[in-house]
Amino acid sequence: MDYIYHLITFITFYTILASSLNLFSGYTGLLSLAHAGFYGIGAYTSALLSTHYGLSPFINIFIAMLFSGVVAFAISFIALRTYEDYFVVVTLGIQIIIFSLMNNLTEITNGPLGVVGIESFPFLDSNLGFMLFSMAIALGIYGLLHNFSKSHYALNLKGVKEDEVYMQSLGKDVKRLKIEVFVISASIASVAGVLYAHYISYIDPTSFTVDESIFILSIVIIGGLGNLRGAFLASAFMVLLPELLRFVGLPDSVGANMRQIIYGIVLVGVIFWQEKKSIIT
Amino acid sequence: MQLFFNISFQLFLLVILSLSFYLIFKPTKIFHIAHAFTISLGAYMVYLFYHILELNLIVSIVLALTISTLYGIANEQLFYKHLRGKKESNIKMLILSLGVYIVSQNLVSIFFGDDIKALGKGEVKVGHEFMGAYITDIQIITMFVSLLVLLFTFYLWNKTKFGFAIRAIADNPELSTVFGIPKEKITLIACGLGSFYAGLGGILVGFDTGITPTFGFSLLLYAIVVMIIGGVDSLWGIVAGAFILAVVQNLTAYYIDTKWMDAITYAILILFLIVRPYGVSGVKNKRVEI
Repeated sequence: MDYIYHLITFITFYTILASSLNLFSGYTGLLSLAHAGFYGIGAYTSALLSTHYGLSPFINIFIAMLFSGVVAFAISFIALRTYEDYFVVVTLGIQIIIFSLMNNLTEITNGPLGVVGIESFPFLDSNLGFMLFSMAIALGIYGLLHNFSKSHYALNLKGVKEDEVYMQSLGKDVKRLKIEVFVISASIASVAGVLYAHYISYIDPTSFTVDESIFILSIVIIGGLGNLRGAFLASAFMVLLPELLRFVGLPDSVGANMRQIIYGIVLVGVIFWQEKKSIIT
Repeated sequence: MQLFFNISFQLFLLVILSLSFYLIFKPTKIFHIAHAFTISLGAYMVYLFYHILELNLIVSIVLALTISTLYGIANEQLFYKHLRGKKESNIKMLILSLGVYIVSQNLVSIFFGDDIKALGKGEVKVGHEFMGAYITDIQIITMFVSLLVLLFTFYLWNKTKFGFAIRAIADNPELSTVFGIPKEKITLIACGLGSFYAGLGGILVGFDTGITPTFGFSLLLYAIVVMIIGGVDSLWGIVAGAFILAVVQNLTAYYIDTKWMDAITYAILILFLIVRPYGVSGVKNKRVEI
């Protein structure tokens, strides 16, 4: 039973990550590959604060969100100068920089060895408790984003996606809108990082690589850009897929590759499927 | 002196890799991520033919290059062609290409395993000593081959109809077809040639440092960085970009630490996007700052 709780907990992590990236990408149409970086920033901030200063994870969540938001704010000035595929490349670069900071600033982050012995949330010792807690947070974020999508603010963002120049001519500060939504999206991603760090109790930089960013982005693409429910379904699919492969009886070494192959094929399929659909409508 | 050799070796390596990417990018404007696999594919095919099937080295290299060329052409024929000219096609092609890369790279991982493989046979030779610096055979060959490739590309670019056609398509795809340039065919040839260069670059790196299924990816990223900091306008831009990156990377490795090399590389990319968004060659790139 613990195994199932564990899987559900992971689904909630990825739901948080995917829906936060979806907030940014779905509204602006810009695909970011730096999301695992913010996930990592959240995890590291909380892990270091709680191991060094013994701060409670409940406080850490807010500090991590703030910190991640500040970093995202600085990054957005550079990254949002670019468009479309250039944006993807720039965020990829940022992701690699964040990763190498985590990996190489050994005095602060302990480098490749990672941070060990991170305490779990108080009162949440069992897997069941943690699962319920992270489900509650994911639901909260889901509700928040759902309400957000009904707001005037979201309408402005949709306008930016459809026609940026026109929105500018209406007197909207397009750049500011984009920066704001990027910062919010990064802050939410760091929440997932905090949860992850305290759940696993050990983090190292390899959890926050480019591959992880690609994984999160594929969840968003498979779920559909701007589709909140899709983000949840796709996270469930992507987390459960390797477990299914294990039941089929593939050895673990091939299984990891098979999993990647399947999600590669799914990505290709989704692109072609969208193409077909847009021809019909 | 050693530093000087390292920089020139890196420069030539980056030139061949970024040229291979540039040839495909110029007419199609695709960030062809699967190109990373084309780089590894060449090297792995040499490994297959030369080590496992024990064919002659030259034959293996020729076969490997043919296969990488075909892989590039297949990508264009099977995927990109169908998306061209559609709404938001650039970003879709990028994702598509990422998917293709993931699938291909993992297939190689399954067949060949994830460990580092050396392409060369026999003992590792100590390099030649030249004015107090060491340089290996394969590094000399790399520099030579890359120089040939560069000269050939310059010739192609400036003297042949093919070069003109590529530039015309890059400037204005619609108008070029009006003037009777066979756009599909030229794009296909450009993809083939770019993939050929990529295979060549991959094989050379493979003989120098050994191969893993993912080694093409970081090389591709360097190639993209070179292209962006150099600007997509001219071949000289590529050479200048490669030069800047080679100098910076080697100075980093020499004076700071090799572990910071990737971070510095992308910091340079970001710096360029801030101060010179159009690259060294300075022509406006429409997707940076409208």
